[in-house]
Amino acid sequence: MDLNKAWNKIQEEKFTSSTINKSEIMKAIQQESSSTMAELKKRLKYKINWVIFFLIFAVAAFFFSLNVPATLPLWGTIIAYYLIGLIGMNRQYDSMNTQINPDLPTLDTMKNQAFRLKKVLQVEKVSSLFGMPIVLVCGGLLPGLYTGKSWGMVLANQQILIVIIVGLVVLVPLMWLLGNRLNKIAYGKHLNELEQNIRLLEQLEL
Amino acid sequence: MPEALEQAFIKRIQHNEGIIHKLIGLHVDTEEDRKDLYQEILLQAWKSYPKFSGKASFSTWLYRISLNTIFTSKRKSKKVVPDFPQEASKQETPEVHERLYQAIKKLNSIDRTLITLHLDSYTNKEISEILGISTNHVNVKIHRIKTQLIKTLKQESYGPQ
Repeated sequence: MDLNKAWNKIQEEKFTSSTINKSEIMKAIQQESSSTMAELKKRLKYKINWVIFFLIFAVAAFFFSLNVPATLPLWGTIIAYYLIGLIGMNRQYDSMNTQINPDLPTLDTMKNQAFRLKKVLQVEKVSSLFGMPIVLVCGGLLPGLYTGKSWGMVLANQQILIVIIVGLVVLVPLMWLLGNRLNKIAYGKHLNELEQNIRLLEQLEL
Repeated sequence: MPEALEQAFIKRIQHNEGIIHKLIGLHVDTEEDRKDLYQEILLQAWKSYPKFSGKASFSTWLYRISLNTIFTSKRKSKKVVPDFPQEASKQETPEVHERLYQAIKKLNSIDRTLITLHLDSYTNKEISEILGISTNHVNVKIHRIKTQLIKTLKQESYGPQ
């Protein structure tokens, strides 16, 4: 059985198409990249912009609250959280290359993509793990502190404590799971395929 | 970028576009994904073109860019549109090349890539460089895939023996 002959026939029948015209090529090369990395980078940029917005808000709130010193440690924590998050996200953003390197073999390209993808999703996971409790605790304590109550008085308010504890025990894990689930829906299948193809190529080496 | 470079790129793409059609046809199932990937491959090739040194042939270079783009792209659609009816009429046995095409499409994406590179007359050394694995393993694996394909085609022709 001559596979080459059959392959030539496949090529003639299935892959020979009319010559692509210049305008189609021009249109394609002027568009934005729709690659997975470009999509992820765009998503990260969007989040970075939100973090910058909240950071500016938190810094402004810190200065406007100088006359309520009890609130400053909370605003300081929020600012520190957003700053750390911003640095981490920016690092990821800078390391994401949306251009395919033609000098790299397919195996290395896939490994890079899987590594980068996992790293970005990991940063999101960790930041949401710390972010939600911080927001919840601050959101629960700040209103009391602004009414002029001391830390001791606010913490003695059982209603506030119950809301914070229930939020930490129920809402935080729920939101965390939901975030992970959404990321899995968006990137899980692609990541699995990448890892499977990496495994298949690496198994050839065994 | 200078117009001369643009013209040279367009001419080379037009000359080699069969590579893109072929790889997309073999690895992507839906029309929507095919269209997206076609444009993305052209874009990636264009971005890298100024660095194309001519060390490898343009077709090999484009093959590599196409493969790397396809393997690192998330598919958007789920719906699978078969290229032709899965069940041929009972009277007609599909021609050998149709059966070979279907058999290749049924392979996992790595085996599919290996055999298409081989059938496209790339040497084992070139295949190992494109994929990033050693030449010896390419040799053994291609031999196995070919044996498997021939066995499948024979079984379809004469039934299981």
